[in-house]
Amino acid sequence: MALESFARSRPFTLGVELELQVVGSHDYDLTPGAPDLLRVVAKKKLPGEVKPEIAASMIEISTGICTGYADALAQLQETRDVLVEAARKLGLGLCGGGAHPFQNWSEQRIFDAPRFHQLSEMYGYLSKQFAVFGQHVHIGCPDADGALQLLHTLSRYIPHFIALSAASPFVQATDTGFDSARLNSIQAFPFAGRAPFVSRWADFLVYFEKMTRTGVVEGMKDFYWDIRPKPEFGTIEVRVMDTPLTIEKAAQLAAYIQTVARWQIQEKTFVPEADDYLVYKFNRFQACRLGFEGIFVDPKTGEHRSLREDIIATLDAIESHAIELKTDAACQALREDATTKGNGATWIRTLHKQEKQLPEVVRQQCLRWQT
Amino acid sequence: MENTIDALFFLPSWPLQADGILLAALTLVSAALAGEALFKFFRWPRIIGYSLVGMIAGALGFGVQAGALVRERSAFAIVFDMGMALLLFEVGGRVNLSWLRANPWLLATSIAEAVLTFVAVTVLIISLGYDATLATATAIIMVATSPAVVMRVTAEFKAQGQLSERLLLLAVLSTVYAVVAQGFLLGWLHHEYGHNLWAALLHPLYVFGGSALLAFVLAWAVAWFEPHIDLRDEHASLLVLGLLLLMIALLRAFEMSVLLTPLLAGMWLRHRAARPLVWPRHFGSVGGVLVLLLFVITGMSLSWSSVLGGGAVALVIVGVRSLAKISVLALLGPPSGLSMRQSFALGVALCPMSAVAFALTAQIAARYAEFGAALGAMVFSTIAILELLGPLAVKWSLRRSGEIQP
Repeated sequence: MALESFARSRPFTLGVELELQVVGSHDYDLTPGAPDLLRVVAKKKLPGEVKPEIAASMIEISTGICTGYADALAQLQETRDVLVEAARKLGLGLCGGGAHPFQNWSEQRIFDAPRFHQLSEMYGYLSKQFAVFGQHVHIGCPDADGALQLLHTLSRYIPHFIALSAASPFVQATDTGFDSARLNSIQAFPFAGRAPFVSRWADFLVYFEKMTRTGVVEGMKDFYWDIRPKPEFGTIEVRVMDTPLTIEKAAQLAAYIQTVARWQIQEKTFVPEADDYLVYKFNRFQACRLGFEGIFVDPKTGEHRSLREDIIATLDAIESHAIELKTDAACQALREDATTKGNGATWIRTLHKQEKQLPEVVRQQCLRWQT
Repeated sequence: MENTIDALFFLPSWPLQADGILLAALTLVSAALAGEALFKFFRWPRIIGYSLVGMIAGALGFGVQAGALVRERSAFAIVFDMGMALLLFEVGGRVNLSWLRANPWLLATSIAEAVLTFVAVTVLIISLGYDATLATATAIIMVATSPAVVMRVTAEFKAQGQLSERLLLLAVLSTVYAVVAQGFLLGWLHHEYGHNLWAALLHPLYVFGGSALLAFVLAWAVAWFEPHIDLRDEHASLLVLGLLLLMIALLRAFEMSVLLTPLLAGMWLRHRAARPLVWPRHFGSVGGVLVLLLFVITGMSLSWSSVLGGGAVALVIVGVRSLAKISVLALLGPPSGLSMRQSFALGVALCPMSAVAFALTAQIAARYAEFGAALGAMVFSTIAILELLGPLAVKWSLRRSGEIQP
């Protein structure tokens, strides 16, 4: 199957997808409520879409094409409110966070649709462990070559996106020590990780052709890369973020990615090279494990600094672009997270220390999601 | 010869004496085997086996008479009360009253199915030529959907989803309605049997007031311990069992409702704080055994002559009752957020009757033996049918709706 041609999209437009947890309001464990939620919201008019995911306890919301931060936030708010109302009617809870803190993966149910059953058959228990919840951000690209350039440029900032969004410290009722334990469960898939270093679309098509010929992949959706091109939208899709605990945070992260993209496309402070990826896995691991405290190794200079420092330096560098894109408020909020407030994982850990019980933590996650 | 026997003085005398323990043991072993066999070969809920063996033991004459179960303090009665209290406390604690506020259609469904069931059964029985009091008493019992069966079947097959939650909620609410209505009926019976009107009015008030007060005390006690003891730990649930037993002792001493108090306590506990209360199913394995014994004892205590005598009338009652519940669900299910298919399945799943229905009958029989016997003749047969068919109906409905995995 050939890859469709790369659609044109307005540069720096954005789209946000969020995978949400559906929990019961009795024990706050994951519960297969997605089919009921989908039925109740089916007749509602929404700016974006509400879609099923592989597990029946997950539901995905997405915006349409957004012009910027304010638009994305408004769209997310509208969809969130409709969905929360439906959940209330059904006695369900909805929350953010990259992983459910105490669900038992063997009890997860696969959403009843042919594609999901196929995936489940193929990946076995991995598909049930895949009940993790991520945020994807699409950034509009003017052309296909530019998209690949942007993809490899943004790879340097992947640890930023991970640390800022991280909200999955607990898995199977245990503190994993990671700020984002979610990415560990994605790592097990054969096509997880990063896209191959090709910077021209023609070369990418050759790669894609080779891969499909082997029969191990059918389309782009079989690649679970951290950033992947989405030719039919004319975008690249950043996929490393945990679903944050609030839609405000989700919109802020999208705004940050948009601003970094504009800054790099217009100022090109460095040229991406294959060797940049030498430190990629190390940086990514540090961000997952330690969040802002993690070490960041500069791919160009080999210099070591804390991820917090690199994020703050980046926020300083993009300031004029933030003002231009009206994302300065979002960037300011993220700066506060990096300097004082901490990420979602910090919030979850602090709450758990105080409340002792994970079901109560999930309940409060639901409250945060609603407001 | 004499000497040999003297030398073997430690041997028991022949023939061996069969006592209560032996019979109880045989009943338990057969119940467990029957439950396992039905589960293994047909994937049927095990409780069908427990009820069935209980009924057979009852038919063979090992049963306990309903009234006696309430009046006397036999081991049977204590186990029955404990199993029941435990289960009602647990199921009460699962009911989320704020859900009723968020989705008023749920409360409407619950009230409508209770009222329609009551009216339909009353009219049916009067039209069959029985007197109105008996018809009313029977209809009240028919209102309640067995929380015991619903709880057991959902637990056994790990059911999860919208129907399972709603089924528990509707079962609890219908049980509350039935218990309260039966309290007033008992008052009415006092009046009919010659006591003065004050007794008729004050008795239900005494029972409800006292039960509510005790429920409050029990809930308060559990809530007080909760921050200090982790009730999710099976060891700590011993405390809950102890408190429940204490409550039963008090309820019996004051002649109050063993049904209402644990239900209210559970509901109140759940409602007082938003913080989720999660404890092991049936408060651990001991609780699990008590709940299973509840089914055996209920089966044993259904008087066999009433069961057989009820026959045709019972079948008609079962039909009318189910029709009432299904039609209300078909009407009110969709606006409450269910699909038509789910609404129908939920209506079917509301049919089980078991220990609560039996206990309601027994409470009347304990005070008015003659009326109790007439009532037993009306309802025991229905209970017997639905104890066996109810779990299957619940399983079928949840399986069909995808809430029980194949």
